[in-house]
Amino acid sequence: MSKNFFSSRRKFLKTILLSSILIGVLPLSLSTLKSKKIIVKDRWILRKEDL
Amino acid sequence: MDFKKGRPLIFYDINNSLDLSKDNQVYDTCIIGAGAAGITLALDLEKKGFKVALCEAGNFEYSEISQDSYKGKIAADPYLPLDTARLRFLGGSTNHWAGWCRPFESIDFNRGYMGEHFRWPIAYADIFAYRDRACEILEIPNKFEANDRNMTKDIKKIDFQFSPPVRFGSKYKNILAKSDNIKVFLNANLVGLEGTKGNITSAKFMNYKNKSIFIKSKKFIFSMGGIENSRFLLWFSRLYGNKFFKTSTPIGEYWMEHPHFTIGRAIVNKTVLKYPFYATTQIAQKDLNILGCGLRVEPLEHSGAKKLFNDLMCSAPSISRKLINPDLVCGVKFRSAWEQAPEKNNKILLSEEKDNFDVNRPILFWKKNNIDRTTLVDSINRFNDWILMKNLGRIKLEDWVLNNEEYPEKDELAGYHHMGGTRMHNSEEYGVVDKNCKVYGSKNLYMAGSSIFTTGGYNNPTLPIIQLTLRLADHLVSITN
Repeated sequence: MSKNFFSSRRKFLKTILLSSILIGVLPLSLSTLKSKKIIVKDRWILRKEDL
Repeated sequence: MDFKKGRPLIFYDINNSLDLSKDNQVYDTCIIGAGAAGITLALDLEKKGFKVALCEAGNFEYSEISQDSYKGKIAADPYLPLDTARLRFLGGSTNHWAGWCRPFESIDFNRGYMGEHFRWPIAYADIFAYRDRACEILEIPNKFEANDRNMTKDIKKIDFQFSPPVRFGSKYKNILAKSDNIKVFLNANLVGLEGTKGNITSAKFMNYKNKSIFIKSKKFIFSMGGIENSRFLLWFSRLYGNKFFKTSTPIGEYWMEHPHFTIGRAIVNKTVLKYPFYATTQIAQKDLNILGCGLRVEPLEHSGAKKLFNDLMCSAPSISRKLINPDLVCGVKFRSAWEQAPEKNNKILLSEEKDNFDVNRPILFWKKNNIDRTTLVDSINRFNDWILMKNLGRIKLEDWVLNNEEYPEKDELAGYHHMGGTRMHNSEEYGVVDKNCKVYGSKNLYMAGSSIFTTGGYNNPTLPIIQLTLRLADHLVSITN
């Protein structure tokens, strides 16, 4: 895989993390966020579509 | 007198029987500690014709003077006061146990891949062979695996069996008293040993009036509980050095409990609540390199459930609406009790403070480690995967779980399950007793009870204690024959 792939993936994850913090939704962990689209809001373990 | 049967019930209360010092009988076995293990062993050996001295430090009922010797100190993680976590009278801690029963699983005896210190010296089949009889003693059906069901590859629903619960003291009091082959000594506090190198010939006991007696026997078994077995080996190491057993083994070390904590709350479907007990499968434990973990859901009362649902409505209105259907039940408390890794640093030590019999009181150093935390978090994740995949509800975790913070101090903390300390292992580096429960370096001293557990599994220890005790009885018979 190219360096660009990792670079763009890092940027994507960073963006998600920052935007999640800004809107008060914290990711459980980056790996679960990536693979299962799980988020944590007010300590509830949710799917994105739950909101 | 037991007038119904027309025969006196005989116990030897050494507080009141002053002529006992003249008892010159040499017993086949002297069992020290009359709890679940001690009583089971005495009754089983009696059937094989053994002459047994069963020595209990307390009396028939709870007394402060006896219980005092159970006081000790706690170091490291918060734990329950040592004198409330166990009982010191006939029947031992079965006088307050809740009756939960579930056996070890086959993976417990196949964990060598996690390190040499996880390796039992016996196979699952060796303990499984005694399950029928152990279940009979505990008055439960021997039905476990058949009731388990995989919900996913990683999570299974499990069942416990519940003993009435059997109180060994009251259940077996009359049988013990009527036995021709068992002599029960009450108020008998172990204070010393006598004998030659590697061979104990008599044990010294003191009553509560400062009088002592000696009991002679060919074999001695300590069945005093998961703290006392270690405490007395440590104390005798100080008194006698290597005279009766090797002191270089990890006496008191690799002590284990089952951490018990509330890990969150949840709104769940009826399907989840139908089976309140879950656990990680053996496949998941191997895949994730974690230990066994039990998960429980307990219904909340109506007001608590309503509050929880409103909370979810605010945080996730979309799913809240979807969850309202005929199968939705209510809110539940989400709890866990799980296996702790055997760790050399978790141990029983001797304090410099002494009890009324001049025996050093114990210090319990108990700390949960990284594997313990990973076991919990990975198990919660796998359970949550199932809940989300099947859309069976939503879980709200406690802060400390989510943020990897310290464990809360005000919670159940543990299960009163004292395991390890005189553990079984093929190597003297990792074990205090061999596969036959004999203490390394001794010709005739054995350990019984959960202190011999090499690992603790995630289930309640009483059923395996009885299984392993019956196995010990068979071994003692086989070497005598």
